[in-house]
Amino acid sequence: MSRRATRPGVAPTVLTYLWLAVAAVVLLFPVLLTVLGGFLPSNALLHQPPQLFGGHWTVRNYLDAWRQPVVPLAPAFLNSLFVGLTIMVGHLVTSCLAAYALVFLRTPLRRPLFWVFLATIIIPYESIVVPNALFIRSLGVNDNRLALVLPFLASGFGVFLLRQAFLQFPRELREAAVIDGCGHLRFLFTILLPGSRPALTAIAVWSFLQGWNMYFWPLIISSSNNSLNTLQTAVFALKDNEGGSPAVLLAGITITLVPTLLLVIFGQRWLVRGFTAGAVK
Amino acid sequence: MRTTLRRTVLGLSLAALAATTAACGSATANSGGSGSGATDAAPAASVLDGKGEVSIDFWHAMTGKNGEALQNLADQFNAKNKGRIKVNLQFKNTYDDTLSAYKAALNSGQAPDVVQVYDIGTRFMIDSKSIVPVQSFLDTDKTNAADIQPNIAGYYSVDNKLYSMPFNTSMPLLYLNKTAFEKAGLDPAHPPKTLDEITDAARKLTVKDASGTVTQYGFGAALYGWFLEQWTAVGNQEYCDQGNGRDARGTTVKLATDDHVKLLQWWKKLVDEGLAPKLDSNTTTADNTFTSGKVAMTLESTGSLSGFLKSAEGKFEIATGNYPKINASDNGGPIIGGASLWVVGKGKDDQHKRAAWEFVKFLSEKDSQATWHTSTGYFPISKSALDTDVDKQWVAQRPQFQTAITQLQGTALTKATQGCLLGAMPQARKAAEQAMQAAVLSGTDPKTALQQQEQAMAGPIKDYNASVGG
Repeated sequence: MSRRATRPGVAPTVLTYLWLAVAAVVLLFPVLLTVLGGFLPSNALLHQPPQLFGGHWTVRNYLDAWRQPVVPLAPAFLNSLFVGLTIMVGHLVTSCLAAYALVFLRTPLRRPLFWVFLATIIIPYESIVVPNALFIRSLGVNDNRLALVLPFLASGFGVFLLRQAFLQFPRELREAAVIDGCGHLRFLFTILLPGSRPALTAIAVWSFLQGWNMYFWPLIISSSNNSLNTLQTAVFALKDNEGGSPAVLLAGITITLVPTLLLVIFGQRWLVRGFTAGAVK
Repeated sequence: MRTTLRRTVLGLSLAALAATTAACGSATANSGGSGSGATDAAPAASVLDGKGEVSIDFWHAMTGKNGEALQNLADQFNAKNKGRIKVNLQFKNTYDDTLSAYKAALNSGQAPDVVQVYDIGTRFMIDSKSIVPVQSFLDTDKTNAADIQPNIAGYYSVDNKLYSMPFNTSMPLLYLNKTAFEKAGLDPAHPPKTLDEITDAARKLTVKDASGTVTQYGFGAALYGWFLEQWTAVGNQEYCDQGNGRDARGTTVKLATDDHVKLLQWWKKLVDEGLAPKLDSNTTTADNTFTSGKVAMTLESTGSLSGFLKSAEGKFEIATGNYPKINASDNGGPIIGGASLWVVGKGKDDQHKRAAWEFVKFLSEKDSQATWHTSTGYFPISKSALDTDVDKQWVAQRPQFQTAITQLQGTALTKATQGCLLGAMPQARKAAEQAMQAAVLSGTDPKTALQQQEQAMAGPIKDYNASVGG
């Protein structure tokens, strides 16, 4: 009797699942339409209502999107991958070292320093585009891929997230390690970082997506031969207002979505754990 | 939504930064020159002699098959000028993004040599003082723009001086579902010419099923700001003051005119009577409504002809008519729209300026324009392009395009049909759309809606004029 009383009634459960199902459909339909639409002939897509499950599947749209001549997708894909991975590694390295210095070293003024790092988060990115462009140009790396990533190798958010994670690390472990003669680097790499895996994964996923989804900076900094175009900017070339094929556009968008979807699907567990670990003390 | 926000933030930040970076900008601007004169001086062809290959960057926003056609033309040019000039294309996504990137590049000193800018960015480009007017090159070369359609050159000319080279050009037409016209006993060879005639035709064209649901509306077009500008020009009226912004910088956009009120009242009535569907400012939606046979008459640019023919193939035939008039007595004509090519002078040496001009000149030539016209559907800017075999054949296959040629040639070039030049024109177009939607879709009194938007535009226009020094 008492066990039954704590169990929710059938009706609320059904309602909850019904609500979740509706929400899932609403959230997933655009993704489904994008992915499926890429495999459909254009007329099936333009049909009212769209014949999403008509059975005429084709991979031609994906080939057409991949081979479009205005901005070739293959180099753009490599650029995007380079940007995503470099920014990810950059954020991990700089955030770890900065957070370590803020938590475990007797850095002078470490609290104000931390606030300065934190303050960088509230500067709108658009307001530093021109100074960044000026700076990159003065370095003389204009048509080099480095120009795509140089201003983004460190992030206030990454420092914040890791500092919170490091603060939760048991002091006793650190003291025990130091007493046993463990140096800073060894402590960082063999004890601290393995213990902060959720936060590190969260930063890695977040940073990669930041780099992968970057749109305005590549647009501003690329000036010749489409050599610095990333996938996000290249996929725009598929858009054709006058009589283009929406299916090819959807195929192109799906190509840019793949890494994002994979990361979200496989990294979600770590992502959520990392963020909550940093947020709740 | 996100784009709008991003653009607003960017606009504000760019404006704020303009002051701080101006010094650096001008410092870098002059560093690239080797014996170059003023920004707007046009060097002669001899500067390219014996200098090896000059590499120039061209920023454009041409997507899909238009982008392919442009790439082909650039390849042709590079093959022809091997060892002398090489053009590198850089795709900049949209007209808005191209202009944003150009504004940022002016400050950071990474500007391209040639840039494609949409029609409504013309005033800004002139005011930016970063370009070499095309007219200067024509004068240096002791030639003229006689082969360019005068109505097209007219848009990009101020004081009879051609500032940029028109490139992708289109004009609006009235598109008809020919099959539906014949079914309703109307003659598609005599399309409606005025608002009243559209109403009459729409009554006959509107079809309802047994339950009273409309299966085919007589008329339906996007509440697109560009169309309002066209109606104004067809009425031979100026859209903004100071001679359509061509005598001096415009200070007001004339939205609350009697003709506009009449137009919006008419449009609202069509919707109320069930002769037209409720459509917003998105032209893609309106296009699909037409190609799916849901509306029998629509307004669109000539650029949409090929797409329409392809989508309607096997379903119905298409005919075209001149852009309609508000009043029977209207004697103007539509304005051309599209984009033009600008030769950048700021921070460029003589070789680059000249090489940029050579490329722009090549794109405006007869054969390039014939290729461009037939592979994209844009209107050729060169008169003689229409006489080439390849072009004649294309038009013969699409007799609907002949309407556009006749319409353009039949339009007298006045300040009204040249179109309004306004620094804040992108915002003005949005404001017009707000008023059109408020009046037609939400039932606001047309006069009130137009007045509200006209007043709202006063601020942005004043800000712009102040930012470029009155």
